Amino acid sequence: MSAGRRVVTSPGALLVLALVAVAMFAPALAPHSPVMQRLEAALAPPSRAYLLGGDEFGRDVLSRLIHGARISLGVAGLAIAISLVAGTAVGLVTGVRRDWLDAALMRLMDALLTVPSLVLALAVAAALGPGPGNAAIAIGLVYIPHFARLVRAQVLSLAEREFVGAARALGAGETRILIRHILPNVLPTVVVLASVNAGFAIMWEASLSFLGVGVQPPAPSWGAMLRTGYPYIEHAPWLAIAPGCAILVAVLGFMVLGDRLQRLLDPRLARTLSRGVA
Amino acid sequence: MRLDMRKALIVTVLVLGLMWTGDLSAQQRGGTLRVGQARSPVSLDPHLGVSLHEFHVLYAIFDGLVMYDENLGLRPGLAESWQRVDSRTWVFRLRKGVKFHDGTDFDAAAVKWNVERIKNPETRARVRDLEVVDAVEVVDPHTVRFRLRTPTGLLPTFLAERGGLMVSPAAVQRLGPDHGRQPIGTGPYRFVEWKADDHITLARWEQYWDRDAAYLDRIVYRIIPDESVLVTNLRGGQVDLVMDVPPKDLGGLKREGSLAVHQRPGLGFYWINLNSGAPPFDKKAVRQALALALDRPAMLRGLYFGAGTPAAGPVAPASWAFNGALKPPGRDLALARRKLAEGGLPNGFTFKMLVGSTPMYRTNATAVQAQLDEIGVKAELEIAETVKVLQQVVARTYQASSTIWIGLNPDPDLVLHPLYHSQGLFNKDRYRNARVDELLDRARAAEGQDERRALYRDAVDLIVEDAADLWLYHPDVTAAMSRKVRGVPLPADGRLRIRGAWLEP
Amino acid sequence: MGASIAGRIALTVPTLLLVSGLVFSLLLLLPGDPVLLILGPEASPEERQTLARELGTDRPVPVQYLAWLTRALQGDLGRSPRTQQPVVRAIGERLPPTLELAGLGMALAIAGGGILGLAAAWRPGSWLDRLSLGVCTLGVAVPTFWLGILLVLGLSLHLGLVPPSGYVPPREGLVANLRAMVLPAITVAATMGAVIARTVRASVVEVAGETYVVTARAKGLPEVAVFLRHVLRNALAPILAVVGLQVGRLMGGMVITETIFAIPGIGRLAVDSVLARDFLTVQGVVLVMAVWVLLANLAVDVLHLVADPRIRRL
Repeated sequence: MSAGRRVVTSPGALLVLALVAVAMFAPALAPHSPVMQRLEAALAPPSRAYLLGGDEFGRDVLSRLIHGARISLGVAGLAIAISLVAGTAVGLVTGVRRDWLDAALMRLMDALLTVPSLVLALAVAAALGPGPGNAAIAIGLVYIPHFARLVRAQVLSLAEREFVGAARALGAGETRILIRHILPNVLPTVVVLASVNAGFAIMWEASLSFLGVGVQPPAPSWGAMLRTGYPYIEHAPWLAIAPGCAILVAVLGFMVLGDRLQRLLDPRLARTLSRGVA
Repeated sequence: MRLDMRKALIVTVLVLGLMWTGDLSAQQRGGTLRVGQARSPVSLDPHLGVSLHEFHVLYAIFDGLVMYDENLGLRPGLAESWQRVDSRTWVFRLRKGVKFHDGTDFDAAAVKWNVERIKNPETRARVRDLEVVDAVEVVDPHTVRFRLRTPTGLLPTFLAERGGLMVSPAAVQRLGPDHGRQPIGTGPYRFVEWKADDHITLARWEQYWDRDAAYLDRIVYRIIPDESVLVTNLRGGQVDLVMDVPPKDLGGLKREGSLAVHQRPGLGFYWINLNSGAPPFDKKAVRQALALALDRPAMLRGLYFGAGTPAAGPVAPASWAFNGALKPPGRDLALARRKLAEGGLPNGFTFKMLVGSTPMYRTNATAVQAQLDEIGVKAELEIAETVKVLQQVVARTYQASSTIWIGLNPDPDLVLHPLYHSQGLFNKDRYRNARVDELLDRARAAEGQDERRALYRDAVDLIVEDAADLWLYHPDVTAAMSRKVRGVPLPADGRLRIRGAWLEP
Repeated sequence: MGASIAGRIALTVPTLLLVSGLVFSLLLLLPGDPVLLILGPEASPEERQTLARELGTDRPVPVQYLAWLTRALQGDLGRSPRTQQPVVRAIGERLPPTLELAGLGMALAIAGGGILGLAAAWRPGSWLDRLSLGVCTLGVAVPTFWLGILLVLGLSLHLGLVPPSGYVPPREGLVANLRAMVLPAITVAATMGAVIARTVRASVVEVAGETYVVTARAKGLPEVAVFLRHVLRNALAPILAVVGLQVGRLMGGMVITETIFAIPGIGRLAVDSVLARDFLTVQGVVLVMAVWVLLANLAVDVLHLVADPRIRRL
């Protein structure tokens, strides 16, 4: 079986693909409108027509969950894209330059890592204002140092290798070496980290929305659903249980996928990551 | 029919409640009363805070010059009597032998100092009612004379609110800004401890002047931000009394044999504040269209578990100034669309609604959003923290907001003037109607309640006709407590008045 | 060794400076003006201007930062415009519950994670190992706040085993205090314990395969002695490193756990202050948290030097 097939058919990948499909075809899959209110059915328990019951406005929880996949995956995807691009750039630059700029940027990364991520994300999200885009930026910022440090370490070890030395001897410029020789070798590691972190980014979006600085109503994000459903936990526990399960499944999917990718792409990294990641 | 049952239930509960509070025969001294409350006071300096829930604590530590009785009429407090000498002069005679909790004397000089403190811009007091006061003169150690800038019969009312709560001048001078966290008043209970976000402890003030108060050894206010948890604590007996019971829990708590649940129509209201100073809400027909698109009874039942009354205007049925002929507009989408067309917006429009972060503001806004959608009016919600809401309200850059819940004030002036007078504190250049201004001014200067009632009714009629805002419903005021707790009245302003509380052994 | 530790301590100073500068500039971007917070909407523009001048919020950011830094170095973190309370006192009041929760959570995570990890490492590949892997994967993937909510729902509201939330100071009864801390401590410990368990398993399995362990066992040493003397000692260094990392991360988890369980700690103070735009308090809390993280990192380095015989010999 080829490596590609082994990834695609892994349980993690299947879960992630299923989630992406749900997000893409949400309007077709959802049995009801995610925002239509039926105040007379507020907090209605699960029934055949409304499988997961109604929320505090009588809106269909299942439909909101399905539409919520779009927001939750979208925010997580955007956040990871931001941190991947920015973090890789910082990692490459600092790995190659190794001068005052390296020192300054890495100090900055260290400083970012010193502030608890949630507090940092909370402050950034509050500063930018509510909304999915801003939540993605806040989460992305938190993950930049993770990518930067990983890429920098890789660049440093690659720079010692023979093929880089050979390229340099042949008169290749630094930029060319960086793009042609180093970047392709760094990418697998970055992809693995991105997959693992995508799961956590979903959790982060939920945390921010739960604390009230993420996605705003009536848009259904899983975190926002948990936030508004939590006060009714005694009367209508499904309001908090359903979105929590969705988050758990999504995070699990990305973690398992990341794990599989790791074994395939980068067995050496698998060992270091399994020690430190969380 | 169901509504009637509910009313009957309320009446029963009320009567039972009155029977308890009216039972003055056997007060017991001693014990610790544990009050559970979701929100923590920000400051316990009565002149610096703004939040209504702070009164639950303030009324235990501080006495007003004037106090409210159980029907929200005025009664003597630190002032034994008062008299309007002429249209701009009032004389207050003070109670003798009263001491602040730090041992200093309460006298005319302290009153003068307090009022001047409030009026001094350096203090940054949030109490603005006393701007009508020009000067306070000490006539003798137990008599003060208030000279006013403009005639008003409302001075005693203002002195029953935050502005009349007397702080110890010596303590404020000694503590500076720390006074807000270790307040010193003359009230039945003195401050002991405030553990941030956790609890506030008060103890009986042994030298209290009123024999019919301060029965308890201690009061502990426990701050429990989560409402479900708060209610669980009440059920489990970890707290004895909870004000502002979450409506979703009222039904369950009423079935608990060990608890007494008090509920009565309140003076406040939930509303959507419209900035009628700017498009699109500067057009009366547009505002009226919105008012016609709302299903108030459905919102009240679905969102607030029926614990309230649909609102027809800013003055609640619980107020003495309420006009019973005024009915909330029924939902009429066809008429609403016609009104939209009349306002020049036949195809609807989109506007931004600022939403305070408190869950109820958000819930109301979300329901209103869905209902307006049916007449083609799209509301974009922007959830914002208090500071941001304030910024936009000050700058008048907002279009509508579901935020500040005002109105839990015993006197209609304290609601109508700030909101609907063109010079009102929270109105400024928003809503203006010269006739309303005139009526409210006359009501301020008048003295008798009958004369004022007629003036307020006329003013409210105009404000409602103008559809100045979208009033949604008047929430009931509620309190739930262990049956051991006695002597806690529940007036329609929902403030906890704990001075006469005692515990059955 | 001493010199290298001193060097590390010295390095924390510029990091702290950078953190404070970073957070300060970030916070000033926050929309929301402390002046409005104090005066309310009813104040006139002149009143607002006067207060802005008094608080210094009308000055350029670097100037404000330097002023703050000068006072911070003297132990004065300013006074919260929201509550009028000095920030140092606000943090001081809320530190004990946070530290208690952190301590209990850590203890629980180390004990639980250790047992789970050792059980898995006992017979790699067995059903016990698989079960442990499953539990750990769930432990890492479950959102902290959701776990807290489920615990409240199940153990407290339905079964009534422990109080749902709130904090009881130890001096009001140690038992009541610990009972109130059960659910929050489990919530804090879940992720941390899962990561520790995986690390314990990985490094114990790795060391158990080393030649000197096999030799020891071949010499006929009892299994327990082999484990204590050879396996555990040598597996300890990576475990300690991971524990240290997790301790550093603990503060982030506090933010959510304290909010859900109504514990009056600095995590909740951080959330409340960010939401209320109380810059000075946020700045102070972040500083304290950064110190915590740096101390945790430092402790890891020191323990590493002490625990790892190979490094010590160098």
